[in-house]
Amino acid sequence: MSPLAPFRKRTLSAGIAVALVVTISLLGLRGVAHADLGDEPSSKSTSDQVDDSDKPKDLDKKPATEPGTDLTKKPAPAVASEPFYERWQFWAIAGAVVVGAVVVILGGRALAHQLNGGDVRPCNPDFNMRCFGEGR
Amino acid sequence: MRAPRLVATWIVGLAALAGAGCNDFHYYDITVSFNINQSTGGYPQAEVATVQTLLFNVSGADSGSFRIGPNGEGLPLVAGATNLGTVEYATFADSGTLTFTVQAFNSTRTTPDCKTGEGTKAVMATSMSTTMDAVMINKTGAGCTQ
Repeated sequence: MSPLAPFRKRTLSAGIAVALVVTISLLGLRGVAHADLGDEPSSKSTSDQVDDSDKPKDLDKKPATEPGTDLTKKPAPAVASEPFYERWQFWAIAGAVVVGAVVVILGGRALAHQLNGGDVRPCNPDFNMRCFGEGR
Repeated sequence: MRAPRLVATWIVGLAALAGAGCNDFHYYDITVSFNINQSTGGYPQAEVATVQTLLFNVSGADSGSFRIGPNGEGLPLVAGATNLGTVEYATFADSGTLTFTVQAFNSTRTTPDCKTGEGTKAVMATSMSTTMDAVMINKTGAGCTQ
């Protein structure tokens, strides 16, 4: 009698599941390589408002727009400034990697077990426990 | 383009490994009985029940040894019985010859002086899942006094 959980007949499905998860993980990692995950948080002014020498009246002195400015141009979109660990993509990929690792470990164990012959069949009760040999 | 190719190779390799079935169990069901035809070297009928222990030795395509009895796995036989039943041996061997040698002892000790019989059977190992055969034990000695 084998104390192991039965893995019989699951070799192919386990292999396909492992392959799928690893494939998804790798494709996701390729996307991460292109993503801009290394941005530093934008610098914020640390000066107090008391130190702010700008006066509201100063604004009046400045022209609303510089001469020659094309008003039809839209401002460039702000660069994402949130840290990488706050992005959902990071956690999606991290989760996929963790799940993939677990599946690889479990699938690897199942595969190794199957490659070693899987489970030996149970001893026929008529044989009165006279079952011997490999796996017994 | 290297990563998808690597993944594809990995998948194919995994599938090949999974489908290869490198090790498959093969079962040899050997029916063990005692020869009670004294003219052909058999036991006296009444003496069969004195057998306490059987030692199996497997050689050839696989090797192994195991013990049946005493006081279990069908031994000792009830008075009048001559057939122990089936002994199943599991192996990965699927070619060559498996030789089963059975020694019978009239004691819990398996020393040569307690040996009363022996039987041998050579079985061709095949790719079949189950191979059935039989071995008959002939009397070879008087045994010991327990």
